Amino acid sequence: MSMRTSTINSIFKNDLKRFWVVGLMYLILIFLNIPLNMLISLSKVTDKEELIFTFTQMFNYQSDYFIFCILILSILVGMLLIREVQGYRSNIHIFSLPFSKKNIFINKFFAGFVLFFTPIFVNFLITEVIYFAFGVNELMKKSIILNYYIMLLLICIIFFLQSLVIGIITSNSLFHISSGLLINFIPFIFISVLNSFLNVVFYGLHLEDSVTLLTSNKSFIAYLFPLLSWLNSEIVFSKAGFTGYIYLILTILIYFLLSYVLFTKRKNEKARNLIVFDSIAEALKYFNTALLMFGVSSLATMIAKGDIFTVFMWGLIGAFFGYYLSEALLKRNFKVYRNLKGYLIVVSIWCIFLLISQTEIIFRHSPPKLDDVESVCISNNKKIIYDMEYEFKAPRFHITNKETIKKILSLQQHITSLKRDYSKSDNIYIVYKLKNGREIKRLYEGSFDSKYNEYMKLISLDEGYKKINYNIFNIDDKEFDKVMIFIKDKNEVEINDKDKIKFVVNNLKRDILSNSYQYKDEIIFDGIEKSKGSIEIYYGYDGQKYKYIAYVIDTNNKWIDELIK
Amino acid sequence: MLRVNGLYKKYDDFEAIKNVSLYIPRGVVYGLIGSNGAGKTTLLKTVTGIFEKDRGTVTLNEKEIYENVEAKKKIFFIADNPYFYPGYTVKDMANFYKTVYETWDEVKYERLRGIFKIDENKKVRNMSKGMQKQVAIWLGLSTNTDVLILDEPLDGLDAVIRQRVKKLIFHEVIDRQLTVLISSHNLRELEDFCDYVAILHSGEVILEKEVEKLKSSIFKVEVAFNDGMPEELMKRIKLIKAVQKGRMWVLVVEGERIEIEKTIQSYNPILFDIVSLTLEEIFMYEMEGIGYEYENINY
Repeated sequence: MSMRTSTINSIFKNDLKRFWVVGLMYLILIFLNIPLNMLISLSKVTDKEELIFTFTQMFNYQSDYFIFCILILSILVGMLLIREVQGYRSNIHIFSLPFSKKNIFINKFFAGFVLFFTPIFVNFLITEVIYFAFGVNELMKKSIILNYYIMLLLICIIFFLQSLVIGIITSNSLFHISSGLLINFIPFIFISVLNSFLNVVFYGLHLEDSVTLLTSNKSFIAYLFPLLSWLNSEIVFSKAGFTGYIYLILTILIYFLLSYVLFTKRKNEKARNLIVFDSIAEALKYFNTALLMFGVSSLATMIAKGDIFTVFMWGLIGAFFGYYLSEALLKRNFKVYRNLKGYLIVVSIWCIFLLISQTEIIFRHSPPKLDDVESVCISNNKKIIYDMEYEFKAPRFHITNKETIKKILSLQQHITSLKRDYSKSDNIYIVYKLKNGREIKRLYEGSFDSKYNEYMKLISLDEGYKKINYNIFNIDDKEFDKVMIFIKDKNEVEINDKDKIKFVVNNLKRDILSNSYQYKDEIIFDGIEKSKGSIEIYYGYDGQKYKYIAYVIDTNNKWIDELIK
Repeated sequence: MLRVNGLYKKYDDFEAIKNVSLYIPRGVVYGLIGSNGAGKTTLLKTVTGIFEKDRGTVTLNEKEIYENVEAKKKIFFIADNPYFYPGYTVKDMANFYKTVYETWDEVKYERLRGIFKIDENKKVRNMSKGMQKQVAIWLGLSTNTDVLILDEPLDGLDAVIRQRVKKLIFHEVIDRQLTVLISSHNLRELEDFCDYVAILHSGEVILEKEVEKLKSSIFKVEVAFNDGMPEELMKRIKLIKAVQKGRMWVLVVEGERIEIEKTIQSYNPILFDIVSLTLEEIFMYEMEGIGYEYENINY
């Protein structure tokens, strides 16, 4: 009895009494999305295959409209529940009552949980009834339904807890709702801004495609901030594996503990402040300052095609706006000129950082010395660059010819001496393997001149260059499973014989290396109209689909004619 | 009963409460007087367990109040601007408190409904400020807690209601030994109501007295002598203040009334009158005695 009164108490009941309407909204929203949709499909579609496809889509891919409605409702639940703690008068009222902070938090959390668990559970039961009553069990597995509703519940809890965390931090509803919507984008915004800033300051710095990685369902961040991944259908409900569930539960635990700790540490006398915690207010101020400093400086430099001085000046302006606006918002007063001490600290760090950035201490701007280089990998094709980074992990072939390396070093020197324009119309990726074992990776993007093309023409004659830039050299011969040959005005030819496949691959490699192959990799250069056909070589079957590489067939080619005769 | 010892509370760099110590026995009305910003509300909210103290102790029956559910069950706090849930009627609020406070007294609630004459089905937020305060007091008394803490409860109430509220609280104190801690910026308001009074100034208690003792121990004497004020008399009485107006002296004297009369009469004054002081006058003189200008403190 004492357990019951000490855990679930009148706050829980009172919150449910006040906010049950939001629960009803959840119920209607989910009902419209799944049970009603199922009933409509069952009444309209008669073809079994089409029904299977419709239901698979329904449970796997959610409309943006539905995702945003779920997000907004979850933020709303958090907001309504925590409002009692945010408002100064209500804050005084609730904390004067005989409840501990822990007790209030637990009750608020459970009230929120019930508000979305009940509608989800009711809809689950309705879906189950439809599943058995209308013969849907012959179209799809039952586990898909259970999986869908469990995932929906977990994601609702995450959005709700995110809203709780923000609500505990702030006392302002407008800040609460805007941050609730923004929080899922913040890591990606910050990483993007930071990437573009680093690209401006360290010209040639090669960064991983961190934003794509962050939204991929392989990344924990994608679960910590699930909105973007859900919108991108990276989090596919029916295919959520064990790791996905672990990540979701871990995310819930993190947010729960964070909100609990913040709630119990929250000082009621600060309930009038925009940000209730001083340390968080300070952190937010400097985060905004950094974000605007990096964002404004890189954007202005890209637009103005400027140099490091442009970065410096616009960085100062961006930082000022970031710092001043944060300070004014926190103090709720625009006359905060006397509180700019922090800005001066930021400016000092900014100056020191930019000065150091232009030396060779933290980033090597100039090419390495010829004698230090063991080999080089170079490509001007984004697909090849991507494959090297993510498919093959590391370049398998390197240029070792001293003369070619010399040309590559001169090419890099030339590119860095050009005025930057950040247009990204050309790009070149260079990886130096040094004799001391270190690697230097550089990716230059911009609009290069004719001298660059001259360098590239010479470099592309190197055997190593070809091995890097034609994927046929980067795939194990044993992996090739099938060859398709398409000759104009003739039927397509499929080759499955291993010896014949080997013959095709070897001949193609020979042609490429001996420069008798007139056209480049089809993906690299579009020469299809001058060719007499194309070859597709299939490999890497994963049980569902093949990967393939494609090449155009030179008009002078003879061995293919022999092969298909 | 309720004890505050060496309490210290800071807002950033501002010291709101500085080393405050109070003892409030069971069944008394304890008045806390101070101007706006003196620290009354902070002190009350810290005592209630809403604000966490920085230093010192706040105990009810020797048990810390902050985050102590059992202690807080015995306290009901009425803020200067009480909060009611949006859309809630008096009845809804009563139902809520009924589930919160085990001591809730339904009979008392019904009895007070007849006294306050407020429609319990009316939404509280649609009521005037004065009516909202009455509702808060009605609900607060119905919770039947041991301690009632009120922050400026009489502000915004008309004279009739004010007397009614005082009377109701007074009856609770008499009937069931309710302990009341009440704040006001006006000493006159609490004069006929409090057993103890403390004056809070800039976060410090500068004076704390038991009202009845104080009233029966300080008197104003108007006296005149043919040959001027005898120096010996000045030494024999406990003088707080002496002002000469021509031949007449106005003295503020501490002590037993009969003793004072006897002593002064023995010097054959040509004019002699002794009167009791109002609480405000007593405090004025007491505070002047310890170096404060009363006008600077009281509003």
